[in-house]
Amino acid sequence: MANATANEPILRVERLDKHFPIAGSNLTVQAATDVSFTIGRGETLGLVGESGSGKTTVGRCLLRLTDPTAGRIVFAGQDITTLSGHALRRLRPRIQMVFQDPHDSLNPRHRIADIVAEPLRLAGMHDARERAARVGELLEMVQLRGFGDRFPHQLTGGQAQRVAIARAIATKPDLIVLDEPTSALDIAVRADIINLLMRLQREFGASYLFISHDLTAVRHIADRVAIMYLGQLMEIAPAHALFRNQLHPYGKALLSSVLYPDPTATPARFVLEGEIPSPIHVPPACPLHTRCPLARPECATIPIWLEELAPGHATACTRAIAESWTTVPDVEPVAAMVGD
Amino acid sequence: MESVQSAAAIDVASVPAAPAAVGGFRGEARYFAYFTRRRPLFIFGLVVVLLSLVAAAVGPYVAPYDPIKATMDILQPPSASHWMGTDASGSDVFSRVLVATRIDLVIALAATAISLLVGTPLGGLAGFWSSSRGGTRWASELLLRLMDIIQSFPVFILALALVAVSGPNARNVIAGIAFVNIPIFLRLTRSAVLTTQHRAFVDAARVSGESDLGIVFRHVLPNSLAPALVNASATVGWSILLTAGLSFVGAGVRPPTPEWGAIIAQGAEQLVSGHWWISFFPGLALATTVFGYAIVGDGLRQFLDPTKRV
Repeated sequence: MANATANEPILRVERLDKHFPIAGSNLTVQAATDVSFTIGRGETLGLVGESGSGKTTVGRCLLRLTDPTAGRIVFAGQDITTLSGHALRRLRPRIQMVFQDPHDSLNPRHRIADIVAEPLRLAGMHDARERAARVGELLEMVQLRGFGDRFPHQLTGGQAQRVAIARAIATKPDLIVLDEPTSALDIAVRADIINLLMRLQREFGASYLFISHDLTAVRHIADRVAIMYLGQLMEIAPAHALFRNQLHPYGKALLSSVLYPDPTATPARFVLEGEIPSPIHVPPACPLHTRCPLARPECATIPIWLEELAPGHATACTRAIAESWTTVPDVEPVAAMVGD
Repeated sequence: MESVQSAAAIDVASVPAAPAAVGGFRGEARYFAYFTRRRPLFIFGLVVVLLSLVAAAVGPYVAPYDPIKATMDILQPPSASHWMGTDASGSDVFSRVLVATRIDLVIALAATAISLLVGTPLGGLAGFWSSSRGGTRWASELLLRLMDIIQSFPVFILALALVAVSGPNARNVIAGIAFVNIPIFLRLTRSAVLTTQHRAFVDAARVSGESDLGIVFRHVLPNSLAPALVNASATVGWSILLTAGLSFVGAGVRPPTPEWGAIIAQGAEQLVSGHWWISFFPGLALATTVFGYAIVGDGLRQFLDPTKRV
């Protein structure tokens, strides 16, 4: 996994925009703006951010469940941004998705075996007998042996999500978009799902885009992490580097909000002011400048871009770039209290 | 309070073979038996529906008297030889009510089937189209406004007008009733499709490589039919009522053909002189049948809902 970035990336997203028009006005919801990143073969990229930051929209664009407004999506060297019809369906076995709500992602009228077999059937892989055997194998891999005849509502959330994972790996895809796969599950089940996903990745070598706001899970599973705020990438870095040191005030605020089960840990000191603005009225230039305790007047005027300040560690903070930060400075305690 | 109970119920039900876990027709039949056993009202509805079907099938062959022939025994009260008495022409009311079951049921079933077969696919299309753009969106809007126009008339008045224009016979009654029921099925299916097509399993099917047609017929429509199918049973009941209503005012099936509404209308003339049985018994048959079909419709909704299964 460590040398994955050295290879040609399986996925390259270039300057992706997704703006949803609001009916009856000329306003748009700017769900994603100028998003660029790559995912290497066998690599896991964690995509984190608050609710409404556009993480899911980016994932859905990769699967072409929504059409991007602008930008390019290059998968395995092929531009898939405008694929449609037959060509798009031929690509389907290679990119799969696991959804947030496991029960809602399974057709309630289909039995588990049929659900897992569906991508195989549609890809024309195997005849019916081989397919049944393959479904048995897949169910065994997700520890659901003998569940083939059941209906989705007879499963727990964790079991349903394992069915969704079995369906996602059925065609041995190169990339799986995991859209908050654990957020609807009990804490106790989350670790099982994360460990299952990691084990399957070791066995099959698929790349993951792991969308989540659960930073603990991201830290566990991701090789690299990208942080989104109001549809834009703020910071992207190898996971171990990012969790040790941040180069963007938003990254620092996000990570200092994680609660560790350690009574001696010092409480978070780096706090943003106020609430996240609406994605309809995204602040110009740096979208964070309205809340950032380190903002300068020019933050409201200079357009942002991502620049690498340390190996593999890029930030969109113009101040960090201008001042060549090695870390985000702490705020005076007085200033930090303003937000409260 | 409910979570504790349901948790216990799941433990008990899922460890030994849960009825629905058995595949195929036998599993369905076992679940149906299990489902029915605890619902006495549903059993009552089923019995009524079954009796109405049997009466429709064999009524004319087992009726004790000729339902049309006039006799000298006019306006006899209910007795051992005439269970529901006789009417002003001396015909046996029981025989007339029994024989009338066939025509009422045939009209109601045919009308409901037609409105279901027309309304459901149109509702499906209206649902898919309403989230599209351009011509199809426009077609969906047009369809809905047409339904608005149909529904802006009282159902009975519209059916009455249609039958009056086209002529009072069974075929036109079927067509009229089918027509006034189409908007219900169209709207029910459309709204179900609108909800269903945003469920995650539809996205999952697309990601699996399902075509548009596959998504419609394997995923969206099967999960959107329940409201229309459930409503069909109740619609049979209401259509019987409508058929009888049309005959009652003289716009439906013409006398002397035995039909519940027509018999009630004939009896109504005798009510004032105390001959209550001529209207009462066909009225009872009508009310019971309508009620029975409504109950069965409601029961089927619960039976068909896979999430209600343990």
